[in-house]
Amino acid sequence: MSVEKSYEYMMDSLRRIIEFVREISVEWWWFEQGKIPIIRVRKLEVNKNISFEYLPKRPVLDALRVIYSNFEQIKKLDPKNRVDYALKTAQDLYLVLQAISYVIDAHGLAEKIHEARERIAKINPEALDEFIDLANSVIQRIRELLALNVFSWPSKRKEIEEEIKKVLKFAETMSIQEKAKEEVSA
Amino acid sequence: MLMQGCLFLFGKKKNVEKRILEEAKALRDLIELTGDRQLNTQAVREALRKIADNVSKLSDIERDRLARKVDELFEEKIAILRGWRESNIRKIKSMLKELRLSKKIPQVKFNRVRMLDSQIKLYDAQLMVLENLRDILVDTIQRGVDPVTAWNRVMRSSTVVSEFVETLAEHAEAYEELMGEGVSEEALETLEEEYGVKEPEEVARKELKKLMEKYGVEE
Repeated sequence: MSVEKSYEYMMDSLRRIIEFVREISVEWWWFEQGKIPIIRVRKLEVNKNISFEYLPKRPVLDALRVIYSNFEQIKKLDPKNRVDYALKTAQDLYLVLQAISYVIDAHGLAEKIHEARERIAKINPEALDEFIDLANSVIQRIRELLALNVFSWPSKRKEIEEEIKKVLKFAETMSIQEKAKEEVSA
Repeated sequence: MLMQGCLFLFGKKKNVEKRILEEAKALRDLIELTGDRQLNTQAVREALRKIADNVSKLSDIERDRLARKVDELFEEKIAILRGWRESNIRKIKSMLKELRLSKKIPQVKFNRVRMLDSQIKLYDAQLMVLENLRDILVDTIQRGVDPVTAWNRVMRSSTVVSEFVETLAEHAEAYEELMGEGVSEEALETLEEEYGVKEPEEVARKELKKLMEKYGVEE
């Protein structure tokens, strides 16, 4: 494969990743559809001088776009600098992908809360307000945790999982109580 | 001499085909909402009439080929609109899910949901017109209908286009109203049911709930 073809292949893969993240982030209802800034990446600018500075935290999709633009800029550099900045940008890309995988994992947990909410709404609507308070506090915690330091997710995951278990347990108790009430009245 | 005549005729027919395709493309792009390319029923009628006149000069094979090209031309735009519509549906579903975990619904988010809903309905209207126009055009070109029949179809399409314009006007009004409105729990509930975020309540149960409220009976 020629150098040009390899480059095009890489850029094409990046475009696919961006498209994939754009598609899935829409589903993150608990995370402002992925618009919460969680990661810092470096932006490469090639004018008379080369600058490669960290930007403030940004949403994952924006971060991926910065990385895409870096790889476009890399073409303007001489071979020595090109390798150097390509490696640094690849490191940033790895971190962004890691962050995305943590958000995807967190989404799986948030979905459990949503499912429980729907169950409660059907079986015991009177308990809904109490459930929403409980659920919101966990959702808020996940959101803050990821916004503050997304890479702390693996170490905090267990803790969050426990909190979610409590929320689900509450939903289950409410359902059982309601069923018991129905049986008594029947 | 004969050869020259054939080339002349062939060139002329190619020009007719090219012209029809350009007219069909212009017609397709008339279904826009912004800028100076706003929908104009008069222009739509005129373009359809021209195409119907020109198509009578072509042979069966040429008409068939042209019809396929016109179909592709419309399908391209229809696919894009469907994609945008689908993406907005996923977005609205996600936002409705978020609102279902809120005790107090923020006005800004509620407005955003209503706007997305209007946008989706607008896409529906655009898609409906595009699909109708495509069917009429393909039919006209493929069968090489005579101008009178084509004209009748033009009239039929005008009705479709007029309905579309009416829908647009309704949505423009809805947008204006939207900004002044407060959060409506009922409107939100309807949207949740419409986009499958919440299971619709049975009609009877809904009616019963209303009656219970009306007569002060606890559920």
